[in-house]
Amino acid sequence: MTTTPRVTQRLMMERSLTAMNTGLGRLARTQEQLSSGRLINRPSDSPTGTNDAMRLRAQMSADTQYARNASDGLAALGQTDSTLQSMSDQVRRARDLILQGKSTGSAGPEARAALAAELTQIRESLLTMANTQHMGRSLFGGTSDSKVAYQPDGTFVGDSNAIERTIGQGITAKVNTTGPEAFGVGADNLFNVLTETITNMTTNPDALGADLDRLDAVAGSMRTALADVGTRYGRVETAMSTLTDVNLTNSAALSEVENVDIAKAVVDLQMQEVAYQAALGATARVLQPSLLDFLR
Amino acid sequence: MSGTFSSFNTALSALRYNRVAMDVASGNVANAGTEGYARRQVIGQATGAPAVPAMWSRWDVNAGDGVQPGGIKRMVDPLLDARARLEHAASGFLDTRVASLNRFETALAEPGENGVAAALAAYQAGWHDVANNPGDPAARAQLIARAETLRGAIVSQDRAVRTEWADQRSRLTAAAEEVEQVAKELAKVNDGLRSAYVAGTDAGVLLDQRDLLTMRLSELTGSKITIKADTTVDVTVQGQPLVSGNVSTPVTVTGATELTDPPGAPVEFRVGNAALTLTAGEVGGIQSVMNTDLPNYLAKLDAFVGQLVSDTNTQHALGNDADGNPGGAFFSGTTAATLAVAITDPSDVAAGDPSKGALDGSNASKLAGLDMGGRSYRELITSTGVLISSANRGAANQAVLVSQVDASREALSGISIDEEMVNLLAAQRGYEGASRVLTTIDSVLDTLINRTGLLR
Repeated sequence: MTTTPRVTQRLMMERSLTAMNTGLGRLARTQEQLSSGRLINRPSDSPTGTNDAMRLRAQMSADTQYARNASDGLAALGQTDSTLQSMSDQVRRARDLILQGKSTGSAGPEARAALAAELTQIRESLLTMANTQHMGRSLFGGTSDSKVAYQPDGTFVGDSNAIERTIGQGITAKVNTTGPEAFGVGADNLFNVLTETITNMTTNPDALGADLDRLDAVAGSMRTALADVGTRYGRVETAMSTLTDVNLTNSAALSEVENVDIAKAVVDLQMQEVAYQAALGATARVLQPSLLDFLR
Repeated sequence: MSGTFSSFNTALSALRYNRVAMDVASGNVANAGTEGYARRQVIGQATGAPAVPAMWSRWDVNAGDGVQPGGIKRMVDPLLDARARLEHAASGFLDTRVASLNRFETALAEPGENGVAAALAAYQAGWHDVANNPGDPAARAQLIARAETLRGAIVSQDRAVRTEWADQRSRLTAAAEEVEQVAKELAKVNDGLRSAYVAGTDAGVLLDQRDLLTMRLSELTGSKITIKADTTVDVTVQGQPLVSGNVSTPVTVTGATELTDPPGAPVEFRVGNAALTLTAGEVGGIQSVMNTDLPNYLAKLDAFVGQLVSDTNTQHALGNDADGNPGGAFFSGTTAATLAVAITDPSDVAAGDPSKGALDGSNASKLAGLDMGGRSYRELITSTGVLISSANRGAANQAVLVSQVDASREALSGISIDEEMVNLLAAQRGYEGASRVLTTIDSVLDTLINRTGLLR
């Protein structure tokens, strides 16, 4: 004789309860995932996923900041570039005027006085541009907090420190050009050369040839500075677009780790719902009948 | 050779026996939902010759001496009960631990936008912004605000750990009180059991209570029990007697009353004078959370805070603030609880390199590039996640085991209404049969007594 295990009402009840609770628990979990849209709602949901998510989040936050730094740097470089550009134009005009003054045949003292007046205007204009401010600091003044980079007499009052922006983990880019780099050093700087030229224009036209050479030297260093700024602009811009790309990739990866695959979750929900309803139905049918129903 | 009326006795014994069977069945039905009630079964015994023959006397061999209830059996299996106690103790340990850890885990707010990791990233970004605009007081003020946010996130974790610890401390006290109460009740039950044993009376209800109380003690403490010959039980917790006969040992909780840095004396569960650290039962679960998991988390959180403070302050001291003075301490404190932002004036943020101009931000740049404990914090969260998910799995496995053992116990001791109905019907039919026997014998005797010799 085989013995069948005794099955009691209470056993059935408890099993049904467990089955229903398990079903409801699974439903609740899927529901939580669907309504929060997230696969990982707490570290224990997936410790490795949590690690990835935190790493990616940190990376993305850093990259976003690097991109901000780069865009801030681009603004400074852009302004430097356009300022240097228009200054070069002015210097070219000054060179023409000096050439006119140098040609003794065509230039009498009155004409030279007029040329000197125009050169003075150009020098003023160049000085104003060299003292351009960017975000509250002078563009060519290095890290100095002086409001201007050059005093009216042409003395440089800034410093020659680099301003750098971090555009990647351990990667920095210089985003400023200091006065001496662009406009020459000390007595040979643009403004001193122009001051002397203006004086020579009226008093000593013979020295204009030498002045022209000095001005050409300054114009050369301005061209070099322009080219340098352009190169750096390109570099920072490339870094910025790379950062944007990387951020896109990372955000896709984060979503892969952290976010719910809606289609899968909905299918899971359907399946669990069916299972739960089956458990409910089975419970309702199993718990009701008893021998009592059939006894008179 | 049986007497004339002995068949009456046989029928009477059947009536009595079936009454008992019906009583037992109705008692079972009545207690179908009673916690701790074990199914009773009446053992029928044919009345027959005594096992020890009397001197000078002879038992007549004849059928139909009747039936008697040989006893009412409680359907329990002590081995199964012992197994159940063991599994319930393990389950109590794991469930308590899991409940506590899960509660504390939700307070971590990781991974997400409101956790410490996000606040740390924002704080580092704040340093970048200061580096970009060293002359802008708004960027400096924002940095200080972000440092405050970071401190808030860290402090709220610290508070969550301490709150959980304090909750568990009061839970442990409550559990100890319950252990003491249950132990006292069990000692009383032991007293009753011994009297019943000596008097030889049925002690079914007391035995039910005994099993229920020992089960609860095991759930609470993982205690071991020894059933004595007189049906009383002795209970020991890690070898320390908790209940011995009708004497129970008082239970107390000693050790630290709040979670401090570094943690104070471990919280101990005292049975009498013996300080115990349990490894099973709800008390064990509470102790493990209080003495291991929470202090470990707090220590690692403090280590992270220490690195944050030292990384920031060391580099900060190398810079110059907006007024050209060397940077002071940016953060004060060394632990999560004592962490504070020491700087309130935005111009005190040392963004610049002393060798450079007043609008230099290179020191802020260097600060922005520091790790500041970010990696160790991530490791902490990951390892906590691993700890909790493995605890969850362990508890889920144990729940399956417990439900299997409970099902086996239920299969043996549980009441099946259908079965009791069948027993009741059988007893009813038996009773009716015995009544019919009476009627038959009555009619036979009627024939013998009233009609014998009568001629019509």
